Amino acid sequence: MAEVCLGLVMLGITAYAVLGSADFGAGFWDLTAGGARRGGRLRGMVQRSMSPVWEANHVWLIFVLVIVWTAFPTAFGSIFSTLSIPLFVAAIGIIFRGAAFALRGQAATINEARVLGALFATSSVLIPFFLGAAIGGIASGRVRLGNAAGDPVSSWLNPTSVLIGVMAVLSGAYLAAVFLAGDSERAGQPDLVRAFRTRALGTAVVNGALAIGGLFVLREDAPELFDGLTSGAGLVMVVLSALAGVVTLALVWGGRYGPARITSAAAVAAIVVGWALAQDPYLLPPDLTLDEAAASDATLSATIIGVGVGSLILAPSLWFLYRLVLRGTLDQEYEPLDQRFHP
Amino acid sequence: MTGLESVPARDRPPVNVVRFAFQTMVGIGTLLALLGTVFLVTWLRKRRLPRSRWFYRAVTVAGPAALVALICGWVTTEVGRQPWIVYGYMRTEQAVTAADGLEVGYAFLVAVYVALGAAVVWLLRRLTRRPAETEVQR
Repeated sequence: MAEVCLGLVMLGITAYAVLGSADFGAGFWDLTAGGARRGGRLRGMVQRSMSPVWEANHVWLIFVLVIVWTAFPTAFGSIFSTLSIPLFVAAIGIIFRGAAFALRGQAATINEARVLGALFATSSVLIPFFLGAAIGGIASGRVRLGNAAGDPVSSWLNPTSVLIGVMAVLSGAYLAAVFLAGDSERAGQPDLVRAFRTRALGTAVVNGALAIGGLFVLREDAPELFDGLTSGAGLVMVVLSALAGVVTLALVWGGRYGPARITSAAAVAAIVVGWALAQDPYLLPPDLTLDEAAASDATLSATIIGVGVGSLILAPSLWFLYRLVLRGTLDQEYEPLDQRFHP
Repeated sequence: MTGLESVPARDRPPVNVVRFAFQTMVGIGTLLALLGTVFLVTWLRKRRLPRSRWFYRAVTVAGPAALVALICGWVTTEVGRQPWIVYGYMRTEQAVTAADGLEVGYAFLVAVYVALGAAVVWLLRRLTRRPAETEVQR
């Protein structure tokens, strides 16, 4: 049953890594769009794409937290006490990001919109970095079993954490560029399609290079993780991810953004699953295995039943939301973000 | 009924915090129920809304008061459970994080909530200055 619960956690992390980081990636493109007038068109597209789904993707983060603290309480305590700094920063970032995005819609002047936009976009980069850095701390064996037993700083400020943090930011940017290119096409904005296509191709290359270079970092800094990713099932997932990445590159090149959505998501999902397989059987390497971390059977079965019942409500509503979004039913009129400030 | 004396002093919660929080919650709840009754009686007997200005003043206060009652209820359960975090199993001092900087985190959180509160006031004031939106016919 511990495996089922871990499967649920991985499902949640995967969904968050695909859907949530695409949200953060949209913020990345907002941040790098340039001055208010030049970046207005791009920001308008980001705003239009994000508005219907907005904060719904954080449901996956909450899902992961709840399963981890009920099914693996000692691991949860160790992770949250040792990694309190990056997780605190990420949580504050999530608050500021949502608030700033909502308030920007009410801004009356371009300066207000600029300040709120900067807050939204900066948080969008900080959150995935710190969440990625936290995962790097776990994966490289720096979160020790016990109450704040790991180092409060070097557990998330180390080569593996920085690598995974940067990868989380850039893979989100890549996913967002692919999704936004498709959205721009549907909105009938060919110049934005081109802009996001260029960004998708660019970040795909950067991500690929980072993944290859990252293997050298891992070999030095986290040899156990490196071994897991370069042998057996871990290797299979890494190869699958690379294949999905190449297929996506070809699809984006050919302007087929619908299928590219699926393959780009698959590339990210394969890496998340690969990470889990690479550190199997450990939940917190090298101290705590999955079976040692698992709560009692009664708790685990209650969790699984609870998730089953809950998903009767969650799954159809999320499916409905994503279907409405992908069909364009929730599409709003496209407007460059700075337009309403230039009468 | 079991009295407070039956519990050793080291296992007692801060009694007055719990007492006043509980009394505030019950007091506000009773007043809210009274307000609802006033409305219902007026509606059933006269088929109209109450006309007293004081009724509408009370309705305006009822919104924030309901939130205060909610938080008082929360204080009652959380403080009332002390010194336990899981009643009878784990004490709060056993559960608290060993990480440093808890105070810094709390101070920062307070600042964040003050900033958010200010942002909400700013937003509400801005929204009240606009004409009310009407549903657009497609």
